[in-house]
Amino acid sequence: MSGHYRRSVVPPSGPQRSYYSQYQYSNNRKDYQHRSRNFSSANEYSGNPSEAWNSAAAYRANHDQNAIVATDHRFQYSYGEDHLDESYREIRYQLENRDRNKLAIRARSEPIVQKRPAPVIRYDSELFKSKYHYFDPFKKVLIHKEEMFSWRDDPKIPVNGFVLVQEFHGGQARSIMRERNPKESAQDPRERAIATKSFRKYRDKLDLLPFIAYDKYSVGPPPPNEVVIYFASDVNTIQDISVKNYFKKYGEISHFEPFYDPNNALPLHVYLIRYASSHSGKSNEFKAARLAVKEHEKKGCFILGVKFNVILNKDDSLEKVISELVEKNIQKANRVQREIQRKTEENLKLSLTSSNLNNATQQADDQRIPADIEKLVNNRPALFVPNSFISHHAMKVEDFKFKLRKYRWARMVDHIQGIFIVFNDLENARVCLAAESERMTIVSRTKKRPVEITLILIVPTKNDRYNKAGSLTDLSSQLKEKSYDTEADLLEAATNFILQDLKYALHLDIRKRVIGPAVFDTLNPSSFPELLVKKESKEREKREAALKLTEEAKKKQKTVNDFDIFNLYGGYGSAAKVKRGPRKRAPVSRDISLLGSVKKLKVAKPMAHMLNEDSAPKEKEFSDDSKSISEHSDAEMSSTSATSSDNEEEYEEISREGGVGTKSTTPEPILEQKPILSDEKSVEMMSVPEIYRPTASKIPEPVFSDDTLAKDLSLIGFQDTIKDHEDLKLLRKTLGVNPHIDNTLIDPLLNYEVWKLRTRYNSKARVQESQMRLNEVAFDHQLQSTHGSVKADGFCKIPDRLKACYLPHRRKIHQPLNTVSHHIEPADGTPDSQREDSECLENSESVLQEISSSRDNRASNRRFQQDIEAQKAAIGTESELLSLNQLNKRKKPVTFARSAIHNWGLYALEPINSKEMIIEYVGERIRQPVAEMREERYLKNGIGSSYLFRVDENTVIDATKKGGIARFINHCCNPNCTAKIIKVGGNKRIVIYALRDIAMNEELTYDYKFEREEDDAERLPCLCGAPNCKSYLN
Amino acid sequence: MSHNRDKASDLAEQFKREGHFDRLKEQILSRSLAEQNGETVVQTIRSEVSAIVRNMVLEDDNLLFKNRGSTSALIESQLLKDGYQKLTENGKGIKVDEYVSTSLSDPELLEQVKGNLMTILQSNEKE
Repeated sequence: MSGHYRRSVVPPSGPQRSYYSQYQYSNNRKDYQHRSRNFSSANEYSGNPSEAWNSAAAYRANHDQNAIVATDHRFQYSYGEDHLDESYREIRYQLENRDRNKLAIRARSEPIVQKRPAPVIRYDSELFKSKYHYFDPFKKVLIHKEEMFSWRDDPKIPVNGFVLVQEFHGGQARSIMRERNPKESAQDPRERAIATKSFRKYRDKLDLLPFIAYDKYSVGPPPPNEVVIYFASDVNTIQDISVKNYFKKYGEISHFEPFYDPNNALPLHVYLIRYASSHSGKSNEFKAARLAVKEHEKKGCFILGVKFNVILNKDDSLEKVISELVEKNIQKANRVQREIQRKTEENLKLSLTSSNLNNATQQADDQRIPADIEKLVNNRPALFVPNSFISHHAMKVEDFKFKLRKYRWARMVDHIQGIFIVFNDLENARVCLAAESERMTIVSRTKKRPVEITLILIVPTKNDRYNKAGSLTDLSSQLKEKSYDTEADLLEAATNFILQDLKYALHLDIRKRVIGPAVFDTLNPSSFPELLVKKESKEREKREAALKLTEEAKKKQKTVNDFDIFNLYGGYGSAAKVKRGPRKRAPVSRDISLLGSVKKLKVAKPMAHMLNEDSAPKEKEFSDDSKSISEHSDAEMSSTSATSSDNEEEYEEISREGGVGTKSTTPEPILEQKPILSDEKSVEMMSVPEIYRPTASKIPEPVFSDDTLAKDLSLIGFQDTIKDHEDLKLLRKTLGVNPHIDNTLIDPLLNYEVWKLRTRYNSKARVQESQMRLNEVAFDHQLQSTHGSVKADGFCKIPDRLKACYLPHRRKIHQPLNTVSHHIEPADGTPDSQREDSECLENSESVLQEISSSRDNRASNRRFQQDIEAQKAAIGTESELLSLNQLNKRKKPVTFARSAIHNWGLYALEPINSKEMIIEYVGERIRQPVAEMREERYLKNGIGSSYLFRVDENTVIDATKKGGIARFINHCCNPNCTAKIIKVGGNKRIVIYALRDIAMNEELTYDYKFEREEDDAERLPCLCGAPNCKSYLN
Repeated sequence: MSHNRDKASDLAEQFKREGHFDRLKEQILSRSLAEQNGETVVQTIRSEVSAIVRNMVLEDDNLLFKNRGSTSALIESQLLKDGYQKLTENGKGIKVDEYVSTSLSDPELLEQVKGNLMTILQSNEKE
C-alpha cells in the first residue's frame, strides 16, 4: 500500500459553475492556476494532516469566495509523518496575502459574489463516517495511521524529499535528483508557461463570451436565419436572380422571395432570403445569415452597381421595410398624380393662349447663336437647350438625337453654351418645338429619373445671312422666294440654269456615252486580227520553247534517274525503268494536242503542277514495282493487294520457276551410275546388295564410316557400330567368343538390363530431341539440379547464355523471330521455323488486314495532311499545333516485343526494303548537362536501360519517360538498321533506316556506337550473339 | 421643299421634266458637221477615238491583252485630259470644248429654250 494519499477537493455544485462558464469572472484566473499548480507539483509537503486539511479547507473557502473553481481538482498533496513544515506555512501566508490583495481590488469595485460562511462540517453522524476515507475531522486523526509507512524507504532519498532537475552535461539533458530545500521558493518546472505574464485585463464588468452556436440543445428562440435586402437608392432596375446569386455565397438558400408593391404590382426591390443548413453540416443557416449581414454592415452591399441594405430579419424588420417602401411609393404616386394634373392644366392654359410660341421666341430673343458656330448654323433656325441644364443632368447630344429622331433637324451642335438643334426649315423647327418642348423627357444621369426638356427656338435674323459661295443648290433661297422684276428676267435666269446644266450634261454624255464605249470597243482583240495572229504565233513559239525545256528537263531527270538513290541501292528492279519510259512520253504528246486546241491554256505550268503531273504516275509505278519486288524477295509474303489476280499469277510463276531451278541444280546420278561392264559381271554384281557393290576408286573404301571413334561408347552405340555379319564375325574373333555357347549359361538378368538400358537411352534421346525442337539448343547440364530437385537448390544467378536453353525469346538470335503475336495466330507450340512457312502463307492475308502497310500509312497520312492544310487555311494562322511531323509519314509498321538480345526489341511488321526509313527516334530534346543529370537520376532510380541518344555535342534525345517506340531497338554488332541524324525544318532528328532488306517479324537493330570504355568493370557485355560480335557494347 | 426654291430653278426643273432638256442635248450631239463630211458629232468623236486607240494599240500591243476594262478606263482618262487635247492632236478631229460652247451660245438655241420656257410659264399661269 502506498503511503501517498491523494485527495481532491470537490468543486462547487452545478448552477454556479454554469454561470461562471457563461460569464467569466473578472479575476486573474490564469495567475491563480499557476500558483495552485506550483503548490501541487513542487511542494509535496508532508506535515500535520489536520492542519493540512484546515489549510486546504481555508484555501478552498477563500477561493470559493472568489468563485475560482477551475483548478481545485488539481489540488494535490500528500501526507507524511512529519508535521507541517515551514514551507507550507509560507505558502499559506502567500495565499492569504494574495487574497487580501484581491479583497482590496474588490473593495474598489462592486462585490459580485456574496461572501460565503466558513465551512462547517454538518454531517456529524455515523452514517457519514464511511465518507471519511483517511481522516476523521472530528477526532482529527488519520484513520489508517497504523497502516501508513514512510514514503522514504530508500535512505538515499533525502529527508526533505527531492526534486528532479534537468541538468545539461555536454549538451545532453539529464535528470538529476536534488535534495529539496524547503526554504527555497517553488518554481514552475515548465519553462515557458511561467515566464509569460497574463495579458488579460482585469475586468470590472461582465463580458460576453464568444458566440455559442444555436443547436438543438439551445433554449429560446432561434437566431434569425433570414436576411432582408432592400434598395438603398432609388431607380435603376436589377434582376432578382442576380441578387439571389450574390447572396448564394454565404450559404445554401432555402427560400428567396422578391416583394411587390400591393398597390401597383411593381417590384419593391425588397428580397427575403432564408438560408438553410446544409446536410453535411458544413454551413450553418444562422451563421450564413449573420455573415451576410455582417459583411455589408459598414460599406453597404453593391450588386451590379446598385446599392442595397442588408439586415437580419428579426423583429418584423421585413414588414417594416415593406410598409415603409409602400408608403413611400404611395406618396410618390400622389406626387406624380399632382404633377400630371398640374401639367395638363398648364397645357390647357397654353393651348388657350395661342401666344405660346411667341413666348418661346420672346424667350429666345436674348439667346443668339454664338459667333463661333454661326457658320455651322448658317442662319438656320435652331432649338436651343442651355448648357446649365444639360450639364446638371449629365445629358449628351446622343440623347437628343435619339429623342428627336423623327424630326427633320439638319444637325446638332454641341457647344459650350448648350446644344443647338439646327433645322433647315423654320417650319420643322416650329413643329418640333410645339410638340416636344416641356413634353419631351430624357432620363437625367445624375437624378436617375426622367426630366422634362425645355427647348428654346432661335429664329435667324434676316440681315446677318451667310451665303455659301459657289454652291449649286442655293441655300439663300430657302427662306424667301427669289423675286424677279420682269418675266424676261425670270426667263433669262431659267435659261442660264438650263444652259449651265446642259453644258455639264453634254460633257458627261460625250465622256460616258461616246468616248468610253468607243475606247472599249476598239480595244476588242478581234478588231486587230493581224495583231492576234502575231501574238498567237508568238505564243506558239513560247509554248514550243517551254515544251522543249520541259522535255530536256525530263531527259535530264531520266539520266539522273540512272544514278538515283533507289537504283544505286538496288531497291528497285531495272524492269521499273523499262516500264517508265513509254508512260512518261504519253502525257507530253497529249499536252501538245491540248495546247493546239485550247487558246488560253498555259504551257509553262507552275512548277508544282509539272512536278505533280510527272511524279504522280512515277510514284505509282514505284509502288507497283516495290510490290512485285517484295514478292520476289519474300515468296511467302503476299502483298496487300493479294486479291488482284495478276499478282497471284505472278507468284505462281515464281514458285514454278523456283521448282525448276532446284531440279536443275541437283546433280543427275543416272549418267554417272551407268555401268560400262560386261553382262556376266553385271549379273554377278546385281546379286550383291547395292551398298556392297564396288566403287570406282583407287583405294577400296569402307562401306560404313568408322563410328567407333566416339569417346564413351554406350551399349547402344556399341550395338549400332555392328552393322552386318562381317562386323559381328570380326567382333567375335576379336573377343574370342564362341558363337555356339549355350544361352542358358548367360545371366538371365542380362537381357533385362540391356532392355532397360535401351529404353532409358531412348527416352533420353526423345527428351533431347524435343528440347532441340523447342529451343534448338541442347539442354545445358549446368542447369540440371545437383540434388535432383531444382527447388532444393535455392536461388542462383543463371548466366544469360544459359537462358537460351529454356527461354523461348532467347532462341535464334539471328533468325527472324516471331515473338510478335497476332490474335489470328494459332496458339500452338510449334516452333517458329516450322510454322513460319505454313502460317505465313495461310494467314498472311488476314494478318495484313490488321496491320496497315506502310503504303496505306502513307496514303492516310497524305489525306490527313491535306485535311490539316485545309484547316490551317481556314484558321489563317501559322499554328505550331497543326505542324505535322513529316517523318511520321514514311514510318514503317513496327511493334515491340520481347527480344532475344535484351528485354524488349522492335520488330518489323512488314518486310522493309534496304535504305528505307523505318522510324524516328522520338524523345525529349534536352541539353547535355540535363542529360548527364538525368542519367544519374535514372541510375539512382534503378532505370537500368539507357534511352538517351546523343544528337550532337550539345543535344541529347531522352526517350526514357517521353518517347516513341524506337527506343526499344537493341544494339547488334551486325545490325540491320542504322541511325542517321537528319535535319527537318532546322531541327536535328534521329531517324532509323534499314541497312539491308528486313523480313517480316525480324528484330530491328542498329549499332549503338558507344565510346570504348577503358575500365573493364564498366564495360557492358553485348548479348547480340552475332558472329562478329565484339562482346562489349563499349 | 422645292416649293421654297428659286422660281427660275423651278422653271428650269420643269423644263427638264418636260423633256426639252434631253431633246436639246440630242440635237446638239447629233448635229451633222459640214467639215466632217456630214458625220454627226458623236460619230466623229467615235471614229476619232477609235483611231487614236488603234494607234496606241499598234504602238504597244500589250494593251490589247491586258484587262480590257481597266485599260479602257486608263485610255479614256488620257483622252479626257486637258479638255480633249488628244482628240485634236492630229489636226483633223473636232474640238469638243469649242463645239459645246459655240453650240450653247447659238442664238437659235437660246430662242428655242426661251420659247419653251415661255410656254411652260404660260401653262403654269393658266393653272
